[in-house]
Amino acid sequence: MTRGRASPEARVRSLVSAAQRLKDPTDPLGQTARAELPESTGLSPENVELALSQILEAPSDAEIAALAQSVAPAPRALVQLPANVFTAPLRAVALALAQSATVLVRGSRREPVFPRLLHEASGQFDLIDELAPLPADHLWAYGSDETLAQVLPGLPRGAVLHAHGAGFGLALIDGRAPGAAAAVVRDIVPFDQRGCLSPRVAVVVGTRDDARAFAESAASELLAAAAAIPLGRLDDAELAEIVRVRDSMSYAGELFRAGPGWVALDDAEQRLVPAPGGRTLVVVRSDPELYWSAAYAHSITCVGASERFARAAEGLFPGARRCALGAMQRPPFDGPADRRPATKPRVVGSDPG
Amino acid sequence: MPVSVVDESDALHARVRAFARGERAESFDALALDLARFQARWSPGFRRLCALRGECSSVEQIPAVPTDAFRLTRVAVHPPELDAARFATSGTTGSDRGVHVMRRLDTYAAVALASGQRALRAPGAKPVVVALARDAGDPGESSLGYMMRQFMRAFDGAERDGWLIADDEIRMPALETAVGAARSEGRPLLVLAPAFALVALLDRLGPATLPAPAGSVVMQTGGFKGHTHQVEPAALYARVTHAFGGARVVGEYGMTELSSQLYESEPGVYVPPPWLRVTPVDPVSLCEVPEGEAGLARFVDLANVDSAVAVLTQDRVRRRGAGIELLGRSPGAPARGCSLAIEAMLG
Repeated sequence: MTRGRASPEARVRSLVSAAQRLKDPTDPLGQTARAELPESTGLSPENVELALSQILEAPSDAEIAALAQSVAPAPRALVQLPANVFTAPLRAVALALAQSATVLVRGSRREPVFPRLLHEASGQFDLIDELAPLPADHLWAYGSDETLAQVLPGLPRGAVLHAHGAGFGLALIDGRAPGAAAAVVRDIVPFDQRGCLSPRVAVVVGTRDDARAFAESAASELLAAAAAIPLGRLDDAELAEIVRVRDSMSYAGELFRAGPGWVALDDAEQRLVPAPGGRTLVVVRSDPELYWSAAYAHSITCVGASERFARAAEGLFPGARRCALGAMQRPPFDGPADRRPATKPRVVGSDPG
Repeated sequence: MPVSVVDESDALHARVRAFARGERAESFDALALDLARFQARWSPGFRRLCALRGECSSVEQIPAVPTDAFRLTRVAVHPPELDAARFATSGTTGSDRGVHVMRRLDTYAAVALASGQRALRAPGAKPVVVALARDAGDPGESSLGYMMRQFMRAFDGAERDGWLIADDEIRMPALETAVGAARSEGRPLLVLAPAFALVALLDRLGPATLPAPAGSVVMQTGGFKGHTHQVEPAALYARVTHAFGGARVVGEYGMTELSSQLYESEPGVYVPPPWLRVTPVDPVSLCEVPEGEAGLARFVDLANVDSAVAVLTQDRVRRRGAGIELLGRSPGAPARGCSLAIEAMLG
């Protein structure tokens, strides 16, 4: 669908404005979102409310301008939406609208509600069942690495792929800073930790006792959070992974129960074993020299850092989003949430070899 | 006087070897529980796992150590300086390879030979033994290689040039010599081979055959390691049987984290020896699944004296009579959207 001659920024602004209706609990679309999303996402109603009221972006004009400038114009933009983070379609569609007035969106079968409501609210894109990219189309694809690997062979020569695959969030903690555990838990709870911005590992710079104290504190914060915002429904595969990693980490470290989740303190150092999600966290101790963690940079989508390590994070993870602890789920609306080098657009047929 | 880990371990090794020989009238369950108590006393990791899982008064309640733990940490009751062998799992880098350490190798050798004797040798036969594998040292880092060496020494008896792969090439002249020796001496041939090596051999042979004497056996292993998915087991067996002039193919299932092996009794059905118990369990509750249903393979291996008596794998199995049917590796939690599974970090 091609809609008028509005500027890219105007198209994005219009979409963002429409999305605010879903934020609003008094708007009929906002009410529908609150009624239907717990079932389609598996999240508790409280977690859906948290995401709608606090995570769903309401960006500034400056952010919108930056987002519009972050992409190249295209005749058509296609989007294969993610399912893990139900609010993510707003940014995904905004990026496509910044590129083109003609935006075709394929929703996820697992979570069709938010894209439908966003479509109803904005009318700025077409929701379709199958994407059929043409040469020169830009395709924004979000999903597992396996899913993305299946997308590439189906693209015609000349199409441009923006592939956003697997990754996870990392928290860099000053072992002596107060309040870090509560902040990390604020980043863990939204979407029950299914998204690529959610912290799965916390690196605590300090002594072993510091790391242990942080792990204990994070467990108690997770327990408290579960009372306020209950964990939602996890599927069998997620539960199996949680049990598997729990038992492995219990052998390899120390485990702290945290209501429905857990926190593991890894006995080893200088490695990142990501927790499986579902409100779990692996804590690892480190010296201030964090150079070893750069080996994992390709997998780190977002780094939440204590103030002391903000600069270090910039050098170690140049492609990752860098946020304050407690704000990892809300990176600026100035481009894709995931900006690692692997997400750079690729023109099909132009790769060497 | 306090009993040392070595004293206690040695006593348990002796009991396990006696059990495997059928010499002691103690029950599997009693020995398994004694091993679990011993491991809980000397292994902090296992002790933590026991504390996490609660009561442990039956074999079913012994916490199974996930195979991931062998990649994440040392799974052993004794200190590293007492290691007699460090067998590594397959993998491409040091960080994604699990290690199963052993303080003594005689129990491992004894149970491997006892199982192999039953599955691979006709009574009284003294086969010519060769391995479609490279000589990786003694004991080396490969538990399979170590087992093959034991078979060569114990079943064949001759110091033979039996390692048929060198520089990633199959040494056809050495294989032909072995087949010729078997024929001239009137002895059966026993070929020990990972599935991918058999595929390579068949490719190399093309239409040619190497008829082996009657009673010859090919032990095929490693079908779950991802090398040979392009060849169905039945087709592979038929081609191997044809290539060796009617040799019987017997599947073997083992893994680095175990000390004991299972052998194929009928197509697709693998039977454990008396000192190994396999139970399909639900991946979430870790309880045994109802009869006929598939679950993750939980092994209680009495020969894992100094590591983990109970091991949980990611291989899916289903009970079939006295054995199990192998259904492939559990996909685990799919890498959902932009989340990341542990495999992506650890291989």
